[in-house]
Amino acid sequence: MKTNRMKKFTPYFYILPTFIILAVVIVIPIIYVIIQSFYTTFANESVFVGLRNYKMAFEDELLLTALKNNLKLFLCVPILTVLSLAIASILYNKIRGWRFYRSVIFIPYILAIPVVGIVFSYLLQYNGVINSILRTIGLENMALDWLGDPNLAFPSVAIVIMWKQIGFGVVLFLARMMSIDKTLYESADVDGATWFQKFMHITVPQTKSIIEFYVIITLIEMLSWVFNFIYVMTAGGPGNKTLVLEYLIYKKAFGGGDFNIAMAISVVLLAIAAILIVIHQIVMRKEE
Amino acid sequence: MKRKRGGIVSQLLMILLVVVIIFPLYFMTANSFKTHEEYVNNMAGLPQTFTVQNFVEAFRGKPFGQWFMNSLILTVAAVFITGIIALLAGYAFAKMRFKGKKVLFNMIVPLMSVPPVVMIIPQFRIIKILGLVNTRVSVILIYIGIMLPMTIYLMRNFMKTVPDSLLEAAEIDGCSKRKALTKIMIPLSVPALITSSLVNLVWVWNELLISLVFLQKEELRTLMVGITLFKGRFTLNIPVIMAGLVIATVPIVLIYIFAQKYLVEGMLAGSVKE
Amino acid sequence: MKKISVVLIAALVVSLLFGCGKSDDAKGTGKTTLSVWYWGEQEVPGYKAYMEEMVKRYEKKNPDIKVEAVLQESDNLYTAFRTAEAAGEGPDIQYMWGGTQAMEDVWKGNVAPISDYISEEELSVIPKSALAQTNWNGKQWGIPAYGFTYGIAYDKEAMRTAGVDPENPFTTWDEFLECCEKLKSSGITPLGMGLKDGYLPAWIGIFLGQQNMDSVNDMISLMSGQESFTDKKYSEWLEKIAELKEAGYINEDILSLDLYQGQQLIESKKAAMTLHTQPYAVSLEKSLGSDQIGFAKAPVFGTGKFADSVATPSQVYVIPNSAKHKEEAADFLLFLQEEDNIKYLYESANAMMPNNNFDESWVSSEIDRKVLEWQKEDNNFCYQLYFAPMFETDGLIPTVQKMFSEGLAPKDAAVELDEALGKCMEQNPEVHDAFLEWSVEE
Repeated sequence: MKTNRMKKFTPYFYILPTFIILAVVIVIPIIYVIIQSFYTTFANESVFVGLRNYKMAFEDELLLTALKNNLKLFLCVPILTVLSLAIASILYNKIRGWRFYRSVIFIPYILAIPVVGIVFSYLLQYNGVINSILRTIGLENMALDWLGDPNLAFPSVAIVIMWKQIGFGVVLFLARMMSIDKTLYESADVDGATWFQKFMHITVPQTKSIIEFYVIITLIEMLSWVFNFIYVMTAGGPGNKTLVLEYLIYKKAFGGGDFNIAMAISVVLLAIAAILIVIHQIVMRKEE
Repeated sequence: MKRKRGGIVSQLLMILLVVVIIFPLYFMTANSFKTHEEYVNNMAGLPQTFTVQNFVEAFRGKPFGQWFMNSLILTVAAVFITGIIALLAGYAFAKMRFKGKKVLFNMIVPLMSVPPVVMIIPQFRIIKILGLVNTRVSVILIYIGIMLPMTIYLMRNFMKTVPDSLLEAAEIDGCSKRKALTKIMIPLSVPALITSSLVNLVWVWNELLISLVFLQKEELRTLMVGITLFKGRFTLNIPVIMAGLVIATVPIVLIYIFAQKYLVEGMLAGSVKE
Repeated sequence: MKKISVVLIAALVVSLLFGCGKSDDAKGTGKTTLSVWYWGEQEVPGYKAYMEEMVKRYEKKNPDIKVEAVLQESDNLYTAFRTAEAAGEGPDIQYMWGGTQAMEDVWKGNVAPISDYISEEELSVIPKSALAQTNWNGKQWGIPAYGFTYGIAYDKEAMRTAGVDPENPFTTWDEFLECCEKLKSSGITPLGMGLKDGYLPAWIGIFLGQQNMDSVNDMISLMSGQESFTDKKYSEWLEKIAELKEAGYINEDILSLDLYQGQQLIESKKAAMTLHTQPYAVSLEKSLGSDQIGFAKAPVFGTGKFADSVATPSQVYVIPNSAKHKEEAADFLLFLQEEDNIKYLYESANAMMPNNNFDESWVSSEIDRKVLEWQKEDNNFCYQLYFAPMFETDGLIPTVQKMFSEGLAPKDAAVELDEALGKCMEQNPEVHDAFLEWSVEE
C-alpha cells in the first residue's frame, strides 16, 4: 500500500525542482510585473492607478515603433530557415571539405555578442573597414553609413544577428538529414528526381519536426532575446530606428522616470509571446 | 558529369560563405597584431610590423584570468544543474503518467519566451529575500530558471521518441522507474543533453545584462562585463581593443575545436538511433 | 560516464563554495564594509587612480573600515543602482550625474538626505552654488564629487595650418563659422563628434541651448511646458546645429561614433575641435603640450543674459536610502573634502573640487587658469541640469539623431521636442510636480 501511494507521487518528485526554481525565478517575478503595471511608485510608496500605465504606454508611439521593429525581425526567421536548410543540404552531399565548412559556419554562434557587436561596429562604421575596401575598389557610392543611415541601420543589425545565428540552424538540420534513410534518396534517384524535387519531397518532410522547433525558437529569440545586440551596437538609434520592445523596457525601467510604464510594456510583450506559444501549440496539436 | 558541375557551384558558394564568416574574425585577429599607425593606413591587410604590444597593453591592469574563471564557474555550474533538473522533468513529462501532466507541461513551455530584461527588478528582490545578493549562487539560480523551460521542452520531445517498448522491457526485467531512467533513458538522451547543454553554455557564457546588474564586486566580474569596459575607454587605440577581444574569444573557440567532435557525434548519434 | 559526473559534481561544489566563501570574507573579519559605486574615469581620466588612493588613505585612517569601491560603466551606472535600491540593497555611497539626473532618484525616494548626517557647518566648505543643485525640500541630498567646466578643446596645430589664431580662435558665432571654413578649406574636418550612444545632444545643448535665456526661470518655463521649443528663443540652437551640418563642418561619420570616439578624433588628428570637459582637455594639454591643445568657450550667437555663460556643473555623491552605514558613508564623503584630498584629486585627475579650500596656487595648467577666469567672470549655467525627467532619452536624443540621419528640419525638431516633453510630463505627473518644486526653489 505504502509503496503504491509513494509511486503515485514519484512523478511529482521528478518535476518538483523544476517548479520550485521556475516559481522563484520566473513566475513570481511575472506576477510582480503584472501587479506593478497597475501601480505607480513615488517617494517609495506605491499608488494604485488602474490602467493609467497601459493607457500611457499605448498612447506613446515608441511602443508602436518598437513593436514594428520586432515584427520586422521576424522576417529573419524564414530567411534563416531557408538559408540554413539550403546550406545543410549542400553539405549533406558531402562535398569536398564539408566537415571544415560545417565547423567554420558554426563559429559565429559560439562568439559573445559584445565581441561580435564591437567588431561589427568597427567594420560597419562610415570610416570603417567595409567602406574603406569599397572605396579602394572604386565603389565610392556603395560606401554608406551602415549603422547611422535610418534606412540601413535596421537591416544592418538584422544581418549581424543572422550572421551570428546561422550556424545553429545548419548544424541542427544537417544532423537530422544525416539520419534520413538513404534508400529514400536512392529510390528517388532511380525515378530521376531533380535535386530540388528531392529537397522538397524528402528532405523537408523528413526534417519537419526539427524545422518547427527551429522556427519557434528563432521567433522567440527575435522577440525576447535581441536585447544584447541592440545594447552593444546601436542603443536603439539613430532616431529610434532600431528600437525593440526589450530595449524600450530597459530604457523606461532604468532610464529614470516611469518604471511602472515599463512594467505595462512588459506585460504587452509577455502577451505577444504567449500568443506565439498558443499558435505553436495549436499547430503541434493538429499534427498529433 | 552533372554532379561535378554542381560540386563546383556548391564549392564556390561555400567558399563565399566561409569568407563572409571568417572576415570579421580575421579583421579582429590581424589588427590585434598591428600598431595603431599601421591600422589607420592598412585596415584590411595582414600586419606588416607584427607587434604583441597590444596584448601586453590589453592585459595591463585587467584581471583577465579572474574574469575568465568567474565566467567558467557560472557557466559550468548553471549548465550542469540545468541538465540534471531537465533530465528528471523531461523524463516525467515524456514517460510517466500522472494527474495534470499536460497542464503542467503546457505551463512550462510559454515561460521560455519571457525576456530576461523584464524580470530583473523583481528577481533582485527575491534574491535579496533569499539573502543571496552579490553571490555567484544568485546568478546561477537565475540562469537555471531562464534556461530550464527550453531545455525541458527539448528533453521531453526527445525522450518521447524513445519507444515505450524499451522501457516496458526493462520494467519486466524488474527495473524500477529510477533504474529505467539511469540505465536506459540517460544513455539514450546523451545527444539531446549535449545539444541543449551546448545551447545553454553559449548563452550563459555570453550573457551580459544579469551578470552586470547582479554581481557588483570587482572580484566577481565576468569576462563579458570586462569586455564592455573596452567599449568606452580605449577607443583611440583600436588594435588594443581587438587584442582584448581576441583574448576573450580564444578560450571558447579552443573549447569548441576540442569539443566539436563530441558535439557533432552526439547530435548525429541522437538522430540515427531514432 | 559515472566517473565523469562525479568529478563534475565535485568540481561544481568546490567552485560554488569558493564563490560564496570569497564574498563573505569581509563579514568574517568583523570590519565594516563601506561600498561605493562610482563613475568618472570616462570624463576625468585618472579618477579611478584617485579613488583607489582615497580608499587606501581612508582605510589607513580607519583600520576597522573596509572600503569597496566599484567603478561602473556609463550604461550601467543607474541600472545597477536602481535595481539594487528597488530591493533595498543599494551601496552605501552612489555616484550620480548632477541636476535632474540625481534629483529623480531623490523624488522617487531612493536617496537619504545627506544633511541628516553632515552638519551645516561641515557643509559650509562647499560653495552654496554647488550645493544648490541637489537642495530640495529644505534638505541637502547630494555632495559634489568633483566639478568640471565644459569647453571646446581644439588642436592648435590645425588652427595654425588653417591660418587661425591658435590663442584666440573665435568668440562670436560668425568668427566660429569663419574658423570652420578656414579649417575645412585646408582639408581639416572642423568638428569631431559622435552621436551613436546618445550622450551628445545634451552636450550640444550645454554649449548652445541656453544662449537666448536670461535666467534659470526661462529654462523652467520651457521645461514645464509654459513656453515652447517652437519659439525661436528656445530653438535657435537647433538651427545652428543644422547650419554646421549643412556647411559640412562636422565629421561625416558622426552617426556611427560614440561620444568618446568622436572626442578622440582630435587626438588622432582627424578633427580640429571637439566638445570636451576641462579635466580631459588638461590631461591632453599635459601629455601633448600647451602649444598643442587649446580650450575655448562656446561661440556666442544668442542675445540672452546667458549668451556667454559657462557651464560648470558638479557630479555628486548621494547616500542611498537603503545604505546600511550612513554615518560612515557621510564620514567618507567629508574625508574626500579635506584639503589634502582635494589637492590630490586635482593633481591626479585634473578635476577641481568645488570647495573653498581649493587653492588656486595649485594650478599650473594654462587651460585651468583660463577656466578659473571664466568661472569668476561669467554666469554659470548648465542646460542639462534642468531637463525634465525622461526628456533627454525620449525627446532630445532621438530628435537630434533624426536631424542628422533623416535631415529633420530644425522647425520640425522643435515640434517633436514639444511633443516629447508633453509626453514626459503626462507619463510622470508626480515626479514632474516635484521637479517643478525643485527648480522653482532654486
